[in-house]
Amino acid sequence: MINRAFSRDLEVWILVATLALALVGVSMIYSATQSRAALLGGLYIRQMVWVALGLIALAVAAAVPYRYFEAFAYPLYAISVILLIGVLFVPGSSRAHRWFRFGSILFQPSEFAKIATAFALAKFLTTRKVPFRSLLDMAIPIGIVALPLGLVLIEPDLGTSLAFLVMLFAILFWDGLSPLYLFFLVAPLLSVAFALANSLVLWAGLALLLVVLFYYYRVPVRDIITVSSVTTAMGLLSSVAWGMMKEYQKKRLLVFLNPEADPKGAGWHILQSKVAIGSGGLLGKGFLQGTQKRLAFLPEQHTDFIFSTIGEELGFLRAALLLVLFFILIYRGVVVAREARNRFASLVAMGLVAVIGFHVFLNVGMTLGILPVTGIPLPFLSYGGSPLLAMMLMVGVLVNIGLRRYEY
Amino acid sequence: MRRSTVQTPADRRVRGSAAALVFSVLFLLLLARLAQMQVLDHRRYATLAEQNRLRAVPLRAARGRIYDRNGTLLVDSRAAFDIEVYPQQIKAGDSTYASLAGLLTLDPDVLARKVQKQKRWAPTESFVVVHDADMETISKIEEHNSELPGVKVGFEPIRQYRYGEMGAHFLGYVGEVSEPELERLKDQGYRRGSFVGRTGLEEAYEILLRGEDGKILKEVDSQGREIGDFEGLPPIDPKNGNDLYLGIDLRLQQKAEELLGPARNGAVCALDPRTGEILALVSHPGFDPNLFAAGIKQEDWDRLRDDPRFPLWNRAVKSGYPAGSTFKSVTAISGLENGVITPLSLLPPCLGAFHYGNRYFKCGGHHGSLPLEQAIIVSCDIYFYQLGVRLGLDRLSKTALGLGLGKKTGVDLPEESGGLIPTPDYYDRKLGPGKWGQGTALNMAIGQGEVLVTPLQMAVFYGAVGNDGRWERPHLVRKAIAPDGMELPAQQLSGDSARKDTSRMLPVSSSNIALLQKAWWGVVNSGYGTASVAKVAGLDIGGKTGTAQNPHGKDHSWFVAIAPVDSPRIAVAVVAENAGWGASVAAPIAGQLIGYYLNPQPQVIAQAADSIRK
Repeated sequence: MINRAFSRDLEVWILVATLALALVGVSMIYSATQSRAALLGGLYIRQMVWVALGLIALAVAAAVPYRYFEAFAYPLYAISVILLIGVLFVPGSSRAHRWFRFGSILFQPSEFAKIATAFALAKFLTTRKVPFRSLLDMAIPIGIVALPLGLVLIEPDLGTSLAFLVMLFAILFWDGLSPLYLFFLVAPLLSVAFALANSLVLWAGLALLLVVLFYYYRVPVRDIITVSSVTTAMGLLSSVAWGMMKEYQKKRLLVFLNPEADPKGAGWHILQSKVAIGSGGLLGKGFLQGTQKRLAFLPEQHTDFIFSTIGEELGFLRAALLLVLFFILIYRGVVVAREARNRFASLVAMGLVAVIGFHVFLNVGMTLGILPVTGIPLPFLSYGGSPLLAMMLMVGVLVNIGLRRYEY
Repeated sequence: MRRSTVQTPADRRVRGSAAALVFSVLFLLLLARLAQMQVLDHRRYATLAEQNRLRAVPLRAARGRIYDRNGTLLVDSRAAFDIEVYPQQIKAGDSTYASLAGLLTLDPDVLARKVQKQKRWAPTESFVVVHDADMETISKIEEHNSELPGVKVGFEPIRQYRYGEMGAHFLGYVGEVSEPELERLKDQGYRRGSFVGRTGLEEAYEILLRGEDGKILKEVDSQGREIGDFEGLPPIDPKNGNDLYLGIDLRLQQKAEELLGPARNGAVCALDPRTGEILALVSHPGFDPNLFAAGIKQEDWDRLRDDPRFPLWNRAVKSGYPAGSTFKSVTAISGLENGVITPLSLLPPCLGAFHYGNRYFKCGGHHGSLPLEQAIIVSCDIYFYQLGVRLGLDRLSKTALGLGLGKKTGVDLPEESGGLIPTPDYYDRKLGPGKWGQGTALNMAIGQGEVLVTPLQMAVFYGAVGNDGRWERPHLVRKAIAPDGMELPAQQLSGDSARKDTSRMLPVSSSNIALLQKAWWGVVNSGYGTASVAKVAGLDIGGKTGTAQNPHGKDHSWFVAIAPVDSPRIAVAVVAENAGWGASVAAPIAGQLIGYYLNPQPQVIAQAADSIRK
C-alpha cells in the first residue's frame, strides 16, 4: 500500500497544516482559559483528547475508499436530517437547540451534516441519468442542501446555515454550472437582500441586469419564467413580511437568528476583539501574557473569538503564519479537487474545501471587525469537540480523495 | 441551458484557477486587514488596551416600584452616594487597603479579599464597598483622594419603604448578594455589591423588579480620574425594573395594623374572594425593612434575630395555628357531604360533657339538642365531637384536604406554610398502626390536637364558601407594568411556575354552601351567636369564632368572617395570640375592619384621593 504512488499522492502539507493548527489551538485554548481558570481550566485537556480522537477519525476517513462514502451517501444524509430534526426537540435549553447532551459531552449534528450533505449532493449530481434541461431540474440539488440549511437555521445557527449555502454554490460551480446560471441562483437572495434594505434602486438594477442577461444569452423561456418569478416572489414576500413586522419583532428576529450578535447592538464585543488583536502588534505580547485576555473582556475568547487571543499574544508575524497554514490547506484542497478524476470525489473535495475556507474567512473576519458577528468556530483552533472532529473528518476525506485522485 | 454534463479538462482548469483566485483574494483581504490593525494602527490599539485607559462605568437601573391597588406608592428607590473601588487600580501590597479600611471603618482583610476576588472576575468593574455613604465619609474620601487611587464616590439607588413597618412581611426587603450567590448569578448580570430580594415580594418577583444596568465607557488618566466619555461607543441605557401593582388597599392595611395593635402577636389576612386578591396582610410584631436597604447593621440584625417575639416571621402566611372552633365549618361540611347528617337531623343532646373512651370532653355550655345551624351559631363542642366520631379521622381529614387545607395555597410569596391536616397515614407513621384511636377525630372535629392552619388558608377557605364554592388562588400582585408602560401578560407574573389551579370549585353542594352561609350569618347577627360583638349595623357579616388551645400559654383568639355573607367582597381571618376567646379580641377586630372596608367614612375617602398618585 505504501508505495511510490502513495507518497506522491499523499497530501503531506494538508496533514502538516492540520496538525500544526490543532496543536496551536490546544495551546491557545490553554492561554485563553487561564483568566477564568477556576471555571474553564480543564478545557485545553479536553481539546487534546478531541484532537487525538480527531486524528484517529482522520486516519479512518482517509483509509476507507471513498466509494463507500458514495454508496452510503443517501443513508448518511437521511441520518443527518433525522438528527437535525431531533436536536430541535432537546428539552431544557432556551437559547439554542444545537446540541445533544451526553453527560458533559455535547454532540452537534450540524457539523457532521455538512459532510453528509456534501456526499449526497455530489452523488445526486453524478448519478442523475437525465441531463439537466432547465433550471427547474436544479430544484432537487437545491432541495438537498435547503433541507439541512433550513433545519440548522431554526436551531438557530445562522453562521452554520450560511456554510451550507456556500457549499451549494461551490459544488454547483465546480460541477460546471455556468456563471450565468450561478448568478440566476444568487438573484433571489440578492432580491431578498435589496428588498430588506428597502432599496428600490438596487432592486431595479437587479431586475434590469436580469433582463439584459436573458436577452443577451438567449435564455430559454422556461428558465426566464422560473428565474423571474422566484426572484420577484422572494423580493415581494420579504418586503411585505418585513414591512408588517413591528420594530421589536424585527429586533427579536435578528437576535433569534443570530444570538451571538451583540444584543445591545453597540459593538462592544468587536471593540474588545479589535483592541486585543491590534495591541498585539508585530510580535505579540507573548504567550500567556495577553492583558486584554487576562482582563476577561471578551466573552467566548476560547471558542468563537480565539483568534483575538492569538492576535494579541502571538502578534502579526505568527498570526499571519497561521492564516498561511489555512491557506496552504485550502490551496492543496483545491488542487486535489482539480486533479481528482472521479466526479463524485472531485465535487466532494471542492465542497469541503469551500466549507473550511468559509469558516476561516467568516470567523477571522468577525474578530477583525470586518464581518458581522456569527457564532461559527475557527477550524482546529476554537474549543469544541464536534466542530474539531468534523473538520478532521473533512480533512481525512480530502486526503482520501487525494490518495485516490487518479482513480475513476 | 449552458451547462456541461461532462467537464472538459479546459473548463476544469479555468474553474480551478477561478476557485484558487477567489480563495487567494479572500486570504489576502484578511491578511491586509490584520496588517492594518497590528502594524499600522498598533499604537492606537495599544493605548486603548492599557489598563487604565478605559473604564466601564455602570449606569444603574432603578428597581421596579410597588404600588397599592389605588396607585399609592409603597416602595421605590432614592438616590444615594456610595463608595466604589476599582480593583485594577489597586496594586497588591498597597497601603490603600489599610487607609481605605481605616477611613471607612471596614475590616482591611475582608476588603482585600473582596478586591482580589473582583480582580479575577471582572477587574475593570468597580464594586460598592459602602452603600448610602453619609456626608462625613464622603468628605473624608474626597479629602484623601490623591492617596486613594481607584476609590470613587458614585451614585446608586437605595430601596425606600415609604410606610416603614407597614406591610414589611409581604413587601420583604433586599440585601447585598453574597459570595456563593455571586458564583451562581454572575451570568445574569449581578455584580459584587448588587442588591437582591431576600424575602416577600422583593424576592418572589426579583426577576421582574430587577431591571438591567447600562454601561458607559469613560476614559481615565493614569491616576484613575475620569477625563471624559469615550467617543468610540455609545452608552448602553439602563433598563428599569417593572412596577408591581398590588391588590393591597393601603387604608385597609393601616386600619388592620392599628386594630391589631403593636402590643399583640398575631395576624390579619383580608382578601377579596371573588378574585383572590389580598387586600391586607398583617403580622405583628413587625420590623422596618428600611433597616436592610443599605445593608443592615450588625446590631440591628442581632436585635431582630434574637427578639423572642420573632418579628421577622410572617405569621399570616407561615404560622400554623390550631384552628379551634373555626374548623367546625370543615367538620360540618364533611358531615353533610358524607351524608352523616342532614340540615335538620339531630344528634344526641349536649349536656355539658361528652364521654368517649376513658376521657371526658367538655362543652362550653349546656346546649341540648341542636341541628347543625344552631350548633355552629353557639359553637357546641359536644355536637361536633359526636359528628367527629361518626365521621372518623379518615373522612374528616379527606374533606379538609379537599377544601384546600393542609397544603399551600400557592400565594405569590417565597415562603408559605401548608399547615397540617393529620390523616390516618400520618398517625400510622408517627405513632404506629393501631397505636392511636378515634380520639384524634374528636380533636380534629373542633380544630384542636395536631390540626394546624394559617390565617391565609382560613380566609381563603371561608371566602371560597362565601363565593358559592369557587376557590380562587390568593395573590398579592394584580399586575405588572413595564418601564415603557405596557402591562406584562399574566403568565409572566408569579415566578413560582405556572400553577394550574388558580381557580377551582370546592367539592361542596350549593345547598350545603347556603346552609353554612346562613349559619355564619347567625353567629354574628342572630343575637345568641358567639360573635355578636362583631355585628355591624347594615352589613351582613357572617363568620365563626375560634378559641385555640395552646399548650404554651393562653388560648389564641380566632375569628374568620366574610361579608356580605351570600356574595362576599371581603374575607377576613384574624388571629390574636394568647388573647383568650375568639369573641374577646379577634371578632371585634374583624368586625371593625369589615365595617371600615364596606362603609368607609367620608373623610377617609378624601384622604385616599390625596394619596392617589400615578
